Amino acid sequence: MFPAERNRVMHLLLQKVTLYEDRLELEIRTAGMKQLLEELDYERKN
Amino acid sequence: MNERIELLEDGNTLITAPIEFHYEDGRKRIFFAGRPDDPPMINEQLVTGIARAYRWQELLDNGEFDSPEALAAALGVNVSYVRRFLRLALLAPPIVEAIMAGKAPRTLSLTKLDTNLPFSWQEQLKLFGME
Repeated sequence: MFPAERNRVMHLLLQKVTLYEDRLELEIRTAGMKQLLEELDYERKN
Repeated sequence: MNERIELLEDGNTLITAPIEFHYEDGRKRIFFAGRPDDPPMINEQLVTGIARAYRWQELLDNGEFDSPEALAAALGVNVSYVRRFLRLALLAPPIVEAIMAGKAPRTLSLTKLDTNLPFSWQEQLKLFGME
């Protein structure tokens, strides 16, 4: 993927990034993931 | 502390990973802790630079342009800019491979490559500690 496209996908996927002194927390938008994949699969089949 | 993956109540996923800060090239950078083998990091600037160098060298080799000056004029850029990139076409193949695979030393930059780059491939490899 092109860097700009990669950037866009990352922004869509990431809800929140929190940086602490000793750790990094990534909150990823996985809530709608199952449904999204099912919808894509449905479109692909039809 | 280890990496941890949790499923949150709202269906989102929370990944926690230990990190360390290190100085590299005068900049503070984030590294995942306890992982000596860093994942490959592709330097887009270098990759684009090398691709451009090979393309421009090709245009000179196949006679489309007779000189870097002619090429520079056609591109509307300074000739020293063209020459600067053309030098990257003279890089030793192992260095080019390492850059493409993202395995080149992280401190390698365009500026470091085009200042006083030796012609000899052996010397280039020695210079970047890749012998």
